[in-house]
This record gives sequence, C-alpha cells and structure tokens, in this order.
Amino acid sequence: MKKTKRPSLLKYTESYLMLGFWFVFFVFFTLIPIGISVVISFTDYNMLQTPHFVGFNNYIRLLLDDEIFVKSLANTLLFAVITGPVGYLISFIIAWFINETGRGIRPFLTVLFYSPSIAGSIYVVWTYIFSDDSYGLLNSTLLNMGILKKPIQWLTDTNYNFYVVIVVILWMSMGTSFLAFIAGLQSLNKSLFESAAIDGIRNRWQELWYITLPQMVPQLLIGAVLTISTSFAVGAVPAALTGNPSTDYSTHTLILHIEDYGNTRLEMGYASSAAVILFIIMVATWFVINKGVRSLGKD
Amino acid sequence: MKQNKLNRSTGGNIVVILFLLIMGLFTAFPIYFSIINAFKPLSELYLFPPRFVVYNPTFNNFKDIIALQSQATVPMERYIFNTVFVAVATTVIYVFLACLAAYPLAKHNFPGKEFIHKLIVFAILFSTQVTALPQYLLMSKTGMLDTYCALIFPALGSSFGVFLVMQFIGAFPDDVIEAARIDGCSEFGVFFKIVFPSVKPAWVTLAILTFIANWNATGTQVIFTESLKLLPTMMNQITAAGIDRAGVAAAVSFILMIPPMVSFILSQSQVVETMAYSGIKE
Amino acid sequence: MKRLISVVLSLVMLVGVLVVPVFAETADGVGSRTVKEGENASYNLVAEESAGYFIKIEYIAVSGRSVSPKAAVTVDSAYSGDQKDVFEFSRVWSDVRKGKRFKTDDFGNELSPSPKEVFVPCEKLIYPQDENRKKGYILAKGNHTVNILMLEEGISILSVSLVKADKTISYSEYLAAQKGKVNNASKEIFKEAELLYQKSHLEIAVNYDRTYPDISPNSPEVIKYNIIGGGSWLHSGQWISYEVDVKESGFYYLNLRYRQRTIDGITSRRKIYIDDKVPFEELNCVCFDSAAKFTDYTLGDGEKGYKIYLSKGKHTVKFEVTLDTLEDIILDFENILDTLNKLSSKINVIIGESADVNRDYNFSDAIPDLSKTLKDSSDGLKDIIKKLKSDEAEGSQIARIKESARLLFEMSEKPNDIAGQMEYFRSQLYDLAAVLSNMKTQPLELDYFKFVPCDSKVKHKKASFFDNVKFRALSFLYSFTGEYNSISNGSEESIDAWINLGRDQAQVLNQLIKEDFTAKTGINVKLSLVTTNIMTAIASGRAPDVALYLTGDNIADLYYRDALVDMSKLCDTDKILPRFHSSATSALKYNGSVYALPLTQSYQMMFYRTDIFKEYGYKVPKTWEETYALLNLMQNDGMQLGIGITEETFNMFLLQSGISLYNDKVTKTNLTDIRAVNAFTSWTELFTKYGIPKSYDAVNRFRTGQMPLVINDYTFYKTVSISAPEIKNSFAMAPIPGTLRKDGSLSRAQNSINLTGVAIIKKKNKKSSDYSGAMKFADWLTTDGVQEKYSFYSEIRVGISARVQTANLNVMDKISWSGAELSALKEQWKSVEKIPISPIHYYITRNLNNAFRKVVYNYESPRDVIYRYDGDINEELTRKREELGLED
Repeated sequence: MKKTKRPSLLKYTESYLMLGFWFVFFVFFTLIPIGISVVISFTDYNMLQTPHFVGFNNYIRLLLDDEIFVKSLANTLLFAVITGPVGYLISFIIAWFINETGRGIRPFLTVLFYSPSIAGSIYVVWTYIFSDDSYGLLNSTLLNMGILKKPIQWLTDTNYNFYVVIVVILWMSMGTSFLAFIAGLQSLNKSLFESAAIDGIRNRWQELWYITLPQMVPQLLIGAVLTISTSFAVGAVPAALTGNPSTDYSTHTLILHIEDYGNTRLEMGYASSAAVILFIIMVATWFVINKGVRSLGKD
Repeated sequence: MKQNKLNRSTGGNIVVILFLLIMGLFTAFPIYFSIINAFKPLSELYLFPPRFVVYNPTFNNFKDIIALQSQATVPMERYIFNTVFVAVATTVIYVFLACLAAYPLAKHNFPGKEFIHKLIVFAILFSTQVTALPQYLLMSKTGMLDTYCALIFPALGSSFGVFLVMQFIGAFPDDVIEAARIDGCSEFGVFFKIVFPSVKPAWVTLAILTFIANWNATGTQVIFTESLKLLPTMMNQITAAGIDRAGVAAAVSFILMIPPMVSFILSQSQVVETMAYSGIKE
Repeated sequence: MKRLISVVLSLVMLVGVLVVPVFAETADGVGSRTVKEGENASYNLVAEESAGYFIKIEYIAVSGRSVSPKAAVTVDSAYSGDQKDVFEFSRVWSDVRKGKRFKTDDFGNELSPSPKEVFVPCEKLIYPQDENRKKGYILAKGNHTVNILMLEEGISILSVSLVKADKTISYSEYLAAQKGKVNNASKEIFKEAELLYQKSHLEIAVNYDRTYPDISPNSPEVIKYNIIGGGSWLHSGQWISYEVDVKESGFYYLNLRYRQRTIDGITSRRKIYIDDKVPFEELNCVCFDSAAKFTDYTLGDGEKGYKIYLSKGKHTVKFEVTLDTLEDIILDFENILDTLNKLSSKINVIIGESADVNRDYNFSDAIPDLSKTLKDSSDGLKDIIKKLKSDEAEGSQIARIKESARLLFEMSEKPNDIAGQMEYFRSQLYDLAAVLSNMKTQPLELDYFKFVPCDSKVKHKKASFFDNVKFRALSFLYSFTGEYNSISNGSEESIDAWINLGRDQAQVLNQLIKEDFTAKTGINVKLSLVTTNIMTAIASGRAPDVALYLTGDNIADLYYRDALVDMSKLCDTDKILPRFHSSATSALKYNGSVYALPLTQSYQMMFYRTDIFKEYGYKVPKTWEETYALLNLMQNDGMQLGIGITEETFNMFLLQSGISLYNDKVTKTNLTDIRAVNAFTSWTELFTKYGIPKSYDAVNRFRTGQMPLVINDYTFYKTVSISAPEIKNSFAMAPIPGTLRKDGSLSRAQNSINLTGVAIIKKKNKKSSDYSGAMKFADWLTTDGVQEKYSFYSEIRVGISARVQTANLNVMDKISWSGAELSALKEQWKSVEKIPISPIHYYITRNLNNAFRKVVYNYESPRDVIYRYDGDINEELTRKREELGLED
C-alpha cells in the first residue's frame, strides 16, 4: 500500500500535466463563459447597463408565457428529428456506398460530398433557386412547364417555407458525420468480413448489420454528438433563407429565439435562460442516443 | 480471384451508383454555381434568373482584386500572412494540445476523470452563440482583444477535438502501451513515441476540420487594427464599397474556397493511405 | 519722389494686367457676355466663302457647381432637343500642392491634393457631331446666326468666330517646316505625370500604386502618389496639361510610361497638344494598346519616333481623351442598339412574364418588319466589326459583336423560334450595351513622360525580379511598424472613431480628417474600420469615443439604455440643426435633447421610363387615384408597376392620411384608428386587388421595360446606373404619388429611411468637458463643406455606387445630379417625415410583415388582422417601456 502511493502520485502528476495544457484554455474560454451565461440567465441584463438579479423570472416567463418559445421549440425538434436521424443515415449510407466503390473514384467522391461543409456560406445559393420572384429558378421552371400559373413565394409563404428549409438543411447535414464514417469504414478489420462470408452472410445488407456497424461504435458515437449539436443548433440556414424572423415565426428555431432576444431585443438574461433550456434538451437527447448506440455494439 | 468483393450483386451495385449520382448532383450544384459566378463579367452577374453557363468567361474579376489592392495602405501579403498564420497556428497548437489531453483521458485513471469526460461532452452541446459575449468580455478585461491571441485562443478552448481523439485512442490496444511502460518509458514518452503516431488518422482529421473552421473565420468582432485583419475581412471591406464590386465579390468567395478544398483533397488521400497501411492489429 | 510714383504706377499696371484679364468680361472679339443657365446668346457671323467651317468659342467658365457647363450650339436654327447639338464647356482645375510634391502627414505619407478651379480663357471648337465632323458646317457665303443656349451652369463668352475646317498638316510636312532649326538637345526632360499643371475635370485624379518598385516614385514604407488617371480619365474631352521647362532647344522624342488595365482588350486614344496646338495630324489620335503592366511607349509611326521640335523656354503639353474615328462607329452602334431595345420591349410585352417555348406567338404579324429589322441590325453590326478591325483595335469586343450579329441573323430567318431565344437575346443586348459603353471609355494611367533628345537612345527602366521581391518584402515588414490609422503629432487629445463603411470611403474620410480637422484643431482622430456590434463593444468597455454611421435604430437602442451623451449640453445644437432636414433631426432628438447628428438619409422616389411613357402616351401620375388608373392601362398593355412590399409602403399611406404610427408620447400605437386601418387596407390591396407582383427584381424588370414604373428608395438610381447603363438616358425620377387631403392639399408624405448619424458614446469616469473634442469632431464632420468633399471624393474613387444620400440640405445641390433630377429630389424631400423610433422598433417590422402576409397569402380580412397584431404590439411596447424604466 505504502509503496504504490508514491508512484501513483507521480503517475497522476503526469496525467494532470498532459491534460492541463489544454484544460487551461478549456476552462477559461469554454467553461467560464458557460458559467457566466448561466449566471446571467438569472438576471435582467441589456448589455449596456449593469445587470440586476431577478431569480427564476426568466425561466418562468420562458416556459409558461412565451408563445414564440413554444413555437421555436416545436420547430427545432421537428427539424432535429427530421434532419438529425435522416441526415445521419444519409451520411452513413453515402459513406458506406462510397466505400463500396473502387479505389480511384473514392477520393473524388469524398471531396464532392464533403464540399458543402468546406465551402463556407455557399448555401446562400439556394436563395436563388427558391426565390420568390417569378424569375427564380424553381418558379420559372415550374411556370414554363405549366405546373404553376403564378409564382409561389417559397420563402415567405408559411405554407411552403418550412419544407424548403428542411431540404436545405438536409443538404448541409450530409457532411457533418461523413468524415468520421469514412475514416471508420476504412479501418474495419478485413478478416472479420472474410470469416463472416464463410459463416453464411449472403448479401451486403446483412453484412452491414451484423459485422460493420458493431465495429463502428466509436465513430457512430462521434457522429451522433456532431449531429445533435448541429441539428439543434440550426439557425443560420433558416435565417438566411426565410428571413429573421420568418413569417409568423414559421421556421423560427431555438437558436434564433436566443439570438432574437440577445441581439435584437437586447435582453441577454432572457436569452441566456433559453440557451440553458436548449442545453438541457440536448443533453437529454444525448443520453438517450448514447444508450442506443452502445447497445448496438453489444449485439 | 474472380470476385473482387464478397457478396456483391450487380443489382446492388446499380442501386449504389444511381444513388450516389443523384446525391452527388444535388450536393455539387450550388458549389458549381459559385465557381462560375467568379468568371462572369459584370453584365452577366446581374441577369435574373442567373445563368448556369458563362457566355463570356473572363479573368477580369480576379485581376480587379489585385488592382484594388494596389491602392491599399496595408499590402495584401500582410492579410494573407495573418490568415495563414492564425489558421496554421491554431491548428498546430490545438491538435497538439487536444491529443496530449486525450491520451490520459482515454488511457489513464485519475480522480476526476469521469467528471471531466462528462464536461467535455456537455461543452460541445452548449451553443456557441451565447458564449460569444462572455468570451468577448473576458478577453477584453484581460487585454487580449486586438491581438493575434484573440483569434487563436478561443478556438483552443473547444472540447470537440479532445472528444474526437479520445475515442480513437480508446481503441488503441492496451498491451502495446503496457509493454512500453515496462520498458521504462515515461508517460510522455509513451505518448510521443507510440500512441501519437498510431492515431494519425484521428489527428489528421482533426487538423483538417480545425483548419477549415478557422480559415473561414473573419474575426471581425475582436480585431480593430487594420494590419491585424484577416483575408475574409479585407475582401468583405472591398466589396462593401457597392455593387460596382459584385464581380470582385464572386471572385473573392471563389478564392477563399480554394485553400480549404485543396488542403482537404491533399490530406484526404493521406487519411485513406494511412488507414490502408497502418493495420490496427487484432 | 518721382521714382516712387513710377514704381507705384508700374505696380498698379502690373496688378491690372494680371487681374484684369481674369475678371474683365470685355475683350476684343465679336462681343462678349455672360450666359447663365437657361439663357440664349446669338451671334451674327459672316462666312467669306462657301466652305466647311468650325465655330471657335473662347470662354471662361462661371463659378457654380462643379459639373461642367453644357450648352446647345446651333447654326441658323433653334435647339430642338437633339443630343447631337449639346456640347460640354469644361472648366479648368489645378491641384494645390506643397513644395515639389504633395502635403504629407507626420509619417511621411503623402496626402492627395485638393483641387482648385482656375478661371482662364479656354477655346472650344464646335463641329457637327455626326458624319460631317471633319468637314465642319457647310456654310454658304454670307451671314449666319450662331445660337448658344446654356442648358446647365453658365459661361462668360469672350469671342465667337468661324474657322475654316482645314486639315492639320501631316508629320512629313511638319518635319519639312522645321528644316534649318538647330538641334541643341542633349539632356532628357523628365516629368512626373502626377504633378500636373491643369486638368479639365475635377474627377481626374492622382493615385498611388504600391505594388511595384519601378513605378516612379515609390516607397515600401510610405504612400507616394505616383500615377494619374485610370478609371478617372476616360471620357472624350477630358484633358490633363503639364508645364515643361525646355533648357536646350532642339528635337526630342516623346516617351510615355503608361498602363491600361481598367478595361481589358481595348485601345485607348489620346490627342496631344503642344502649346495648345496639335503639331501634326498623327498626334490627333495616338493609340495606346491595352497593357496590364506599365510599359514605355515612344510616339512614332511604328518604326521611327516622331521628332518634335521644342524651343528654349516654357511649353505646355496637353493630353486629351479623344474618340476620333470611333465616333462614327459609336453613332451607328447606338442606333442599332436603340432599335433592338425597342424591339425587345415589344416582344417582351407580347410574351408577358415568361415565355412558353411551344406557343406560336406570331411575332411577324404583331410587329411589322420584324425580320427585316433583325436582318438590318445584323448587317449593321457586321459593318461595325469591319470598321473596328480596320481600326486596329478591340479584340475581345469584336468577338462579342460577332456573336450578336449571328444571333440576329438566325432570328431573322426563323421568327417563330424567337420565343425560345428571348433569354439569350436579352443577355446579348446587355452584352452589346456593355461593349458600347466600353467603346466610349478610353482609360489610361500615366506614371511619367519624358522628352528624349533625338540623338540618344530612349532608355527603358525595368525592375529586376529581385528588385520586386525586395520591395514586396520591405513593404510587408513595414506593415508591422507602420501606422495606418492615425497620425500622432504630439497632441494629447485623441479621439477613437469607428466607421463601418467600405474601405474606399474610410480612406477618403481619413484623409479629410488629417488635412482639415486635425490640422486645424490639433485633435488627433484614430479612425477604425469596424463591423463589430457596438453593443458588445460598449458592454466590454472597449467602445470608441465617437461612432459614425450608426443607424437610427442603433441610436434609439443606445439612448434608451443611457449609453449616449446629450449633445445639447455640450454645445449650442440650435446652430447646427438647421443644416439638416427636420425629418432627420426629429428622429435623433429625445426629450428635447439632441443625441446624434444626422449623416445620411434617403427616401423613395418614383422612377419611370421616359421612352416607354412617351411611346404609350402615359402620364406621370400625381395622386394614387391616377396611379391606379395608369396601372390599369399598363396591365392592359402587358406591363406592371413596381412598389415595395415592405412596411415603408404602409408608412407612405399612413403619413399621407395625416396620422403617425404612434401617439404623441409614443406609449401606444395608432393602428386601430380608422385612418391607419385604411392605410393598411390600401397597402394590402395593391397586391390583392391590383395584382402588383409581390416579388420581383426591380432592376431587371425596369431595364427590360416590363416594369416601366418603379417606386423605390432613390438609391435605386445608383443600381440602375451601374447595372443597366444602356437606359441611362431613358429614365427619370419624380416625387411619389400623393393623397388629396380634405383641405385640398396634396400630401406626398413618406417615412425617411436609411437614417444614420454620428453619436458620442458615454463612458464611465468621464466628465462633460472630456467630451468636447468629440463634439467638435461631430460638429466638423457634419458641416456642409466636409460632407460635400466626402461625397465628391468617394464618388471619384469608387464610382457612382458611393454617391452619398446626404442629410445636409445644402450638400444635395452639390452632388452631381442633373438639374431635373435635383429638382425632383428636392421637391420630394420637402414632404419627408419621420416616424419616431420606439424601443420596440424591431417588433413593428416583423408584425406588420406578418399581418401583411396573413392578408395577402391567406386572404384574411385586413381589419381583423391589424386589430389582432395591434394588441400584440402594444403589449410588447408596454413591457419594454417598463423594462427600460420609461415614464408614462
């Protein structure tokens, strides 16, 4: 017992040291700001004058008296559910399909599918396509084909703009977990596949479920974290497409709600409380998914 | 062998190819569009609906960038240097710090380890829009604003990289590490000589992601001095002069797109290569 | 004593000789007089024989606005409105310099020179602006009347005479005439192009290029102005002159170092005068090929250089932009383009909003001579190509014209396929317009020129690769030590100012500050280009002293949170406020105190196509009733009207019915008032009942003629001028339609938009006296003089897109609007009002938009909808007022 104390202390030192370099930045630039945000959520702060304490008022108002919050929560969940799993799935399928192709095309296809994420704010191009104008790409095509008689205001008409946003978000979300999957697929153990073929696996789909997926649990987890954080954090894309705020808040998301109160209405306290709520939701989702993916691996 | 792949039917192959084709077109379209816009003369840029093909392609927009820069007080080389320096410095430092921190988190046992694990995951989930203001306030009070530090340090606080590398190191076989320790290696030695080289795909991936994210950052919120500004900011300043500069704006977004694309293309083959040959033993 | 008297007398005579020619209006000649805008002067001249004549007019420009005076000159007839009879009588300007070069700041950076108008006699040669330009006016022997009608600004005419249209002598004749002159030339005469003597237009500007060391002079450390021209020296008639001191008489070659990369692939032409005369015919039009880098060029015939004789003493050398042989080509081109545009309009009207490729429109029946017109145009373009080719120019431009000619020919052969080709046709028209516009511009940049003695060889200075690298490396290194934001001249007072405009404008402002403000007050101003949110900056204590171009909304938000300094306490704002329109100042005043001074302000105008209105016989509407009636006509003819879908349209109707959005105390909205409900109904009806398109690209529709009437912010003018130069002369502005009030007056009221201002940020631990420097700065910045210069120089540097929407009443006059545009703008300005900016300004926009969309997309009743949203708005207003602690 005595002997192990000395060496174990030393061992800890090395661990803490290696961890410490990064940890300093983490605390200062991430944890403390998060802490400050949480503190602010209990105050009334308009950025220019000193904040004053209001207790749980912000939270009460947010959860009980804010219609727009409810709407944005609903929208965010809908977006997340539709684009999260679907985007995740599509990312994975594409990664898997690309893996099936020949060595030569693979790099090219990888770059191609990852490009939306690299190219910055290229998604603005979608505004040309869905433009409200009768000369907008989609409108003019449909008008020409006789399907439409008058142009549709894709981005401002609440009957349509929600779906437009979903399409574009899907487009953007394909790249998120994509890289992790590609890398993971490359690193699978070949021998397992061979022995599986002998054992009676007959097509690629069975192989996927029984062999591929369980080996990729780490990558799937990373993919899940990324997907959750990006699909819940959706805000820039709907704003760029349908305006901020969108007509009757039809594509309003939690992030936009936070930004609205933070930057436009200058009520930082309230915005911070919304951010905390958002955070709690994301953490809850993470727990659920975490359990799910780990059980996949146990199969 | 006649069959290159196991269990692959032609029907299945066709499904794969068709799917990829459709998705590929869907993905690439907006990017293609941005590229051709850079080569359109002013008269074609304003056409509505926008054209898919350039009728009179020209390099003038790019030449204009140089011409406009000739009148600047700060030479263009400085902006390029700033952007490259910040992106590279952030990437190098962050990759190093993140890997170094990920190792003990994945392979050691020390008090607080589980707690820090949780912190790391949760921090990824907290939206960055809200932390922007407190970060700004902190940097301002410590006098970091308007320096290179203001551009580099906040990125170093991200926990995403640590999380990513942590998973990969976690999969690394423990017996190799034990062997090295028995041989008398310090933990630092184990890390540098054994673990780090082996998880190359992980940190190469991280490097690409970090570089791309930082390249596109404009840093406008924290930098006021002209000579410290980044390339995207300078480009935006030029185009803010008005519609006259619309052609230049298109050329600018095209150029800004190139380094991330190129670095991705180059390092991507690296990743695949390494994967193919590294052979994680089982 | 006698000596003293004679000295004094000679001094007086000296002064008189110098002063009198400048101020005297009498001079020898046919009769001199001053002609002001709108006035006509007639002169009776005698032609001694039947021949071709030019009219020579000697004049001095009369001080006024900075645009060149324009007059219509006709012989034996009155002015009928034909553009060909209009001539420009340019002014003369010189640059004010310091010492040999320019004034510098304390770091050694040169500052651009200020221009000064010089009133000296000028000569203008009037010739027919058609195919007879070289032959002159063919006049029979006898009396003739020359009429000069001033269209814009005024001139003092010194003399008017007839000059025979003789040809200039050729180079060989010139050489022969110089026989016998002694050649003593041995040294080079070097002249930097930026050190000009005089120039014809204010906008011809010196500039700097810091990329290459061999541009003379250049420094990696400081800014030196080393070139002139480029985008600012390109219109026919613009000239620059230099004074050359020749020490040794003799024969010289003229060598210039120039660059032309402003427009790719075209040739630039210059006319060269020595001592105000073109020495020989070949110098009437010297062609400079497009060059991406500075190159040396010696005037010559391609093999040998032209030997020019210069006697000892001072001479002037003048370079003038000329189109010469291009003029005729341009004329033809303009006619063809005009025809095609009219044709395109007609076709567009038939097709409507989008072409159905499969439909048979029967164009040939609807438009007579369709095929013939197309074919003629095609042939015309081919002719132009031939002429251009022989004119040794225009490589890439020719390719584009060729393509258009081909398309037109194809369309003429198959008129039934036209519908499908309309898109391509349209884009070709835009292209041709661009080619035409390029043809008229002859940009050229000059670094220096020199007269080289004919005996010696012309040496070409070239920088080696290493010189370039060294230079670039040095300037990169200096960027770490250089001070680009301010000058420190030892004064303690320094102000931090933030601006978020494009960098061209920021640089213009910076220069004005250095030369005018800091020089006079000793207060240093550190100007930074910042796009940071000002709120976060203030929150962290990193805010500037003064913030420029804050929006009205920003200023309101800052005021409500006690972040701005009350300017009324710092100085007598009553003296400053009259500079601006009441609609601007009222918005920036709270509780009777001034919290910001206005910088820019704009409002909406009605833009209409004069050519289309003329063709269809439309009248410009004055009231909304007239507008609806006109809309009916237009829609029958297949066209539409454009008006904004935004709340500004609503505000128009609201203010015109005499009510504002809020009550006087800004505690509640007036939206439930019957007038507001009617205004809301009018707004939505535009789109539901009258069928105006909800979304459209205003510029494109305006330029194709599909929407000949557009109501838009007057900055729309800039957009149209840049993206649709071909309709430059076919549109005009008028005040927006008004509403007839009960008392019979016509209200053209509308809400002022894009209001920005300059404000002083409150800081902790600062006393009132600490803000005095900032107040002086804000005061100086908003004076008429400074705003005028700022607008002017910005426009020179960037182009028309930088034209400022000034909030200063007097500065509007100085901006280069045409007379008609100016009067329309000023007329509308009178009726502009401002709806107060409440703490919930952001909430109004979104709720009005939501309400609008409910009515227009979901067909709900306007009255119900507006009542509903009104409740929501007032709730937010009350809540916000409470939060901010505003008294009721």
